[in-house]
Amino acid sequence: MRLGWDDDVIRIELAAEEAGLLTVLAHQFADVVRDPELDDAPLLARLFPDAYRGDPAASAEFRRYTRGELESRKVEAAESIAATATEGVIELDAAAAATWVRSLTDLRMMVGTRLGIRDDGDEPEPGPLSDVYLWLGELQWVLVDLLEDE
Amino acid sequence: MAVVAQLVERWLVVPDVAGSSPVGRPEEISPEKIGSVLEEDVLVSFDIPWILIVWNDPINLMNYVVHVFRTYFGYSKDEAVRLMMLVHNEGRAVVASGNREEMERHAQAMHEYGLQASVAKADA
Repeated sequence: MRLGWDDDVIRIELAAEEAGLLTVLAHQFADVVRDPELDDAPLLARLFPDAYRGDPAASAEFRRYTRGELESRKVEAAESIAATATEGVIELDAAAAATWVRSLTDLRMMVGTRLGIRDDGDEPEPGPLSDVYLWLGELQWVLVDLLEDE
Repeated sequence: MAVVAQLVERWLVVPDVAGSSPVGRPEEISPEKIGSVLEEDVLVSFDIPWILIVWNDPINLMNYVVHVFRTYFGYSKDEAVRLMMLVHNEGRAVVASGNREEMERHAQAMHEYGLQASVAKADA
């Protein structure tokens, strides 16, 4: 994978397996958010945290009127990754890249929660999933730096 | 917050700015600045009863948090870095204050960005 600005677009060269990985993760994320049967409580608690700490009633009320919109915005962003991540060189304008970095946080939260990362300094057990987590982090880091350099 | 240990130079087609640190440094805080911060806090507690708090979490990257503070709130790069370091070192930072509705809107936006944010009364 290589990425960088080319005029006003960020070009990312993705290998087939990288594009496939992003697509699978984005679909998984959308499923977890949309399908109540999956009920991934630790992840959902991070994606939709209490807006009033120590006040469950106020937090529930906040969730009642924000959750639906947050869900659709997050699913939309993940789907935009799934739709654009293809093998070869893809081009993202600044707005699309901003959506990617936002959704990459969600994807990393999904993978990081599965790896049991709870506190600063938690090191995931080495393995395929932690490789995925680190790779997503590097991709997000470089994309954010490119956006900040814009 | 998470730090990506080694930046992957091989990814970059465009060379990075020489000498730039990936996270940036917390700015030195002068006595004048502390004075103005204190004054601000006093104003906050009397006039503006609601605050937005962003909490540290182990997933979000430091440069992403700076990016969110800068692009969403319109903070300068220096101020966004200062707030990010506060979150990182102190576990949380007050990043906005105002009326309750406004703080709830910000909280929703922060949740959309994947940051852990909550609303509280300024005197709580």
